[in-house]
Amino acid sequence: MTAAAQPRVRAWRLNLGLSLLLALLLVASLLVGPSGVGLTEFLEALTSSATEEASIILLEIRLPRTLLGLLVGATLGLAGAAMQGYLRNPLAEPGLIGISSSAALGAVIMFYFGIASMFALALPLGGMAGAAVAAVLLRLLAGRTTNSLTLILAGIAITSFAGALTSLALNLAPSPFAALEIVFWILGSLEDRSFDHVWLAGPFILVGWVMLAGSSRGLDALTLGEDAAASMGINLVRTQRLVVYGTALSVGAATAVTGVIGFVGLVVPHLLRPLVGHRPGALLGASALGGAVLTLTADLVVRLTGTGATLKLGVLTALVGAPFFLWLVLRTRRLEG
Amino acid sequence: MSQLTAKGVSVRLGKRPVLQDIDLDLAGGTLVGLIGPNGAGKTTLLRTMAGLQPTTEGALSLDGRPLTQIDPRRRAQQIGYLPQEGRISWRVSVEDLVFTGRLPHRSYFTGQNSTDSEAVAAALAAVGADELRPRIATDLSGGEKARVLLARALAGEPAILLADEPVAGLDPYHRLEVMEHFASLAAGGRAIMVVLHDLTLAARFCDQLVLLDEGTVAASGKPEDVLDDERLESVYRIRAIRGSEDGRPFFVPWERL
Repeated sequence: MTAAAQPRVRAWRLNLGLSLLLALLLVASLLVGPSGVGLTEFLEALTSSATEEASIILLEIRLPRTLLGLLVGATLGLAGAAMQGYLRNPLAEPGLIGISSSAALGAVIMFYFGIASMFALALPLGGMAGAAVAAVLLRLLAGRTTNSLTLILAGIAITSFAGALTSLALNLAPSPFAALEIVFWILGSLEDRSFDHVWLAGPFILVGWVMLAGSSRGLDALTLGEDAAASMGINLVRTQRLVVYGTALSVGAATAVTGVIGFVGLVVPHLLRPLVGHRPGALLGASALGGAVLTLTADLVVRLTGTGATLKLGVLTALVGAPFFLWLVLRTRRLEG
Repeated sequence: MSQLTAKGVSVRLGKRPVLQDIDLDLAGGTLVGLIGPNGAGKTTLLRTMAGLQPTTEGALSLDGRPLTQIDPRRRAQQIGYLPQEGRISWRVSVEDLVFTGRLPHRSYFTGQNSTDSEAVAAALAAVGADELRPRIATDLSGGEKARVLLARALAGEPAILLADEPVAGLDPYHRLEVMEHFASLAAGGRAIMVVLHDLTLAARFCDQLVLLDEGTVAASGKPEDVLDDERLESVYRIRAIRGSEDGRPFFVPWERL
């Protein structure tokens, strides 16, 4: 076996292992919850002899929650890997270009004007509108250049402005209760989501995945810099569009239905990178699987520890993610020092 | 044999004219040295010839076809380009790095096949980097990295190779080794253009030299004709001690003028 075959085989084994783990987590996610509906009822539901209550819990509460965990987690892992590969920076994450904060702002606006209470899908629709506005702004600000610094600066500008408007909404909130509602939503959660959310966000997420996956050749070539990549026939403008709009579609839709779930997109690609021989293209698939595994695990932890005030998923991922980020910074500093 | 031709090429970067009215022919079977002082426009000319820099005026053609009308991937199969800046962003293995040089030949859904593996092995052998295969590319020394990056460009088996200062940072042994390899590739029918600062290496190995000065071709032709004392003084602003060995001139830069 050649030296390069080893990381290839290892990457294949890694993907297989992650897929098995993901399958287990999907089942676990269907079996765990406060209602006590467990394995027996699950098996009964499969053979359609379960009680109506158990079927409702399984099919209308836990199944959409599980599917959303899968979709959102894989999106964050995939978009994080693509963004890091494109910017050639291990500290990049999907939120960098301002899509998540704008999606959050879109939902916050729905709360603020009371539209959220008029119909169930107002929040995700608002979130998606926010993400779309951010994508248009990115296009206007970063334009046709393939300069990654321009893209990052445009992303920072959009993130800051969306953050400022969200703060303004909290500041001017009509009641403390409204402000609390806004804050809780922003924290990010998979709770109380229905199949409507899955159908609404799913198509956008899937199209985003296809676009991000399509950037893999370009990401591999970019390892050698922009000129070398272009000389190998890579269209840099196209690669940038695939990464930016793929992220906008998938992360925008994901944030619109779940709120902001941080650090998954930063931590997962970073953890898995050495296991795929540091190849940015090969990292995409592994990172998508890893993102789903981490998100579903975190959601299970949230459910199992949920007594009284439930811990929000976004809070948990940030609690675990922030110390990891610090470790990452220290390690990078040590390696460069 | 392939032929890359520049006709009346001018390039502006922003408002600054960098290249003016360049006529150039790069034909299969020749090793051409592109020389000139810093800022003369060598890198811009090489990027333009690789199809990476649009021209302001004039055009390039590959075997008679306008370069801009050739699909980038087809172009990449024909023209290899080795940039001066040897950035490697991730800790990939040398073998994986050289495999990226096969990208122009691989369609989207096919993995690596035996043709790719053979090309990679040949490219690594050509630069004497076989033993570096399993190493992490970013951990290599400057000279090792330069050879591996050259192997990446060679792995695509381009008919035309444009290399920007491929021997910068190499020790004398590896300079000679790499230049010998360029010479043998050219002898095998490829067209190779190399940016060089070492005039002795340029005169020793190149069939032709193109001397660039302030964006124009100051002289081109056989090394001994291009590198006369007058040009070294007017273009490079130096006085050099010269001698000759095996009928080839050599130069020792001696003082600034």
